[in-house]
Amino acid sequence: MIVPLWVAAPALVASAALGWGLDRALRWRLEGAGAWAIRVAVGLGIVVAAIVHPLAAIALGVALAVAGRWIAPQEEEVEPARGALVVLASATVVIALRPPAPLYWDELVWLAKVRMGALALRESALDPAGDVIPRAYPIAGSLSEILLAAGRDDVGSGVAGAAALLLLALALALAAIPQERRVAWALGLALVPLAWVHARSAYLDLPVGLLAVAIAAGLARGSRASVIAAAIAAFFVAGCKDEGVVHALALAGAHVALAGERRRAALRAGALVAACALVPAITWRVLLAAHGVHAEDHALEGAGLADAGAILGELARATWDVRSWGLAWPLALGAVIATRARGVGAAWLAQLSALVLALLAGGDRLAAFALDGSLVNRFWMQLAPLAALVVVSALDQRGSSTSNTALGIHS
Amino acid sequence: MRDADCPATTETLLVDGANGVCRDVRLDAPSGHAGHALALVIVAAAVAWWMSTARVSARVGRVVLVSIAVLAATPGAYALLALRADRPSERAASTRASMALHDRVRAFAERHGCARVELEGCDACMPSARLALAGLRCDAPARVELRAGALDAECEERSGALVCGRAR
Repeated sequence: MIVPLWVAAPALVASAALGWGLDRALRWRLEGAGAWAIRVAVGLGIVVAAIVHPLAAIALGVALAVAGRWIAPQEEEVEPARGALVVLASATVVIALRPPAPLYWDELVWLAKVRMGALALRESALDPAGDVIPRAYPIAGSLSEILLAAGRDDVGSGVAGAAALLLLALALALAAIPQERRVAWALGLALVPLAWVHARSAYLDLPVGLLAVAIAAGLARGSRASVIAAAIAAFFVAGCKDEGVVHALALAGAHVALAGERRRAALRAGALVAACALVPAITWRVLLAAHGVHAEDHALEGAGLADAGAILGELARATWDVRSWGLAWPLALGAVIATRARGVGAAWLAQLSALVLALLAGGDRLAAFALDGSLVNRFWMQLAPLAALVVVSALDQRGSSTSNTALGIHS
Repeated sequence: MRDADCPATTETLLVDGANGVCRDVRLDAPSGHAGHALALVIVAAAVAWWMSTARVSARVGRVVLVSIAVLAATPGAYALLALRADRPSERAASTRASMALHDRVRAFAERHGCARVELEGCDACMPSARLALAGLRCDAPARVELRAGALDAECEERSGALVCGRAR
């Protein structure tokens, strides 16, 4: 038995066509294999935004149009795509080779939303008496999965839709990561045992983490293609989970704060990413408020502050869950220290800090989940992909500085 | 770390399967303290020193770190491959078992147009029930009663309702 990923083909082709049309109309002139990942994401994102609210689609379109004007094209050679394609193909095999049915609690909950269908989900999510659990969560992720499942209501197609969304997030991350680090990054992530569980599930924590990589790496590269990848990743990350907007704003803020001489370019790119994250976040909150739906799980109540010590203790304890993480967290933190928190290390620290603050600022239920151990590893899963890039980047820098020293080159 | 702490049944897999490779963080929660953070910082500092030192070449440094990372991943890999109920040799059977209740409830609900569920001692049945009933709408939902033990999908139809699990 395998996951029927082919059901996602019509949506992927249609999204690619829409994204290609936008690329031509807005004169982005995207090139290379990564360009197709960006086009698919843009096409899918526009449709999802339109379902949430037509104004959201217009706002997203405006932001992406501005990206084409603000971010000048750079003279870059089209990178070889072999490494990215090998990673994507390998991930597809791993993800597909399993029975197409959910096994873990939240998977069943997420797939129930997919089964409702796009319009019924939207209607029910905005109905105070609607039967949607969990209540008031953003629906862009579920809408994406519905479209990728071709609107079919069987469980296997829902699993395929969720898997396709994960693979799209991976493709965006690969499009943003420098070519020479893609395979090493993927191998590093593969050394995290819990990542294998999440990769073969419909949980959104790993896709959120991959989208965060697309944002951080895309902003760091600064080319038009990579900033557009970062921007559309920001739309999806904020549209999938409430904390997604925290990821996006933290990464954009870190990019701007540490820009140095390239402050103006960084401000433009950071503003684009922030705008694309705020479009779904604000739209959804306004719609909820207008329909009288109260967000309980992620209300900003500061309930975690009273138990801050215990919650932080649980987060720290989880980093020593060796069977889930290996030594990922000491390695990641060590890499940040070794590179003096520069580059992606700084981005990761910003991501971590912002998420911790968001956790402490949340409601009673969030604090309870953190203290009973059911949330902490999923918290870290959202940080794991960028942490893997931090380690790979640090090892790369060590190698190149040694070479430079040997060649008499000093920065 | 005990092998018995890994989710070896369909029910423990459902509840904790994605919260960790095994139930290490769940079973001892909350017991985190400053010592865990301090240990993290100390080991991270050692890693940072190893990444920065000029005493070994970059290549040797990289090989050592990757080897340590691979070794550290081994206990988790073993749990995934040999201990959990979703290990490769058992995944198909676990999936069939986990979907049994869903399939039974879905078939019943589709025959009646839709259904509503009453959880009577089987909180773990909630996600399966929600997935089974999602997307179905009708004016007169049939009744599904899920009692303790309903995950085993031992069900019978009584007076137009589907009753699963053990009698009280």
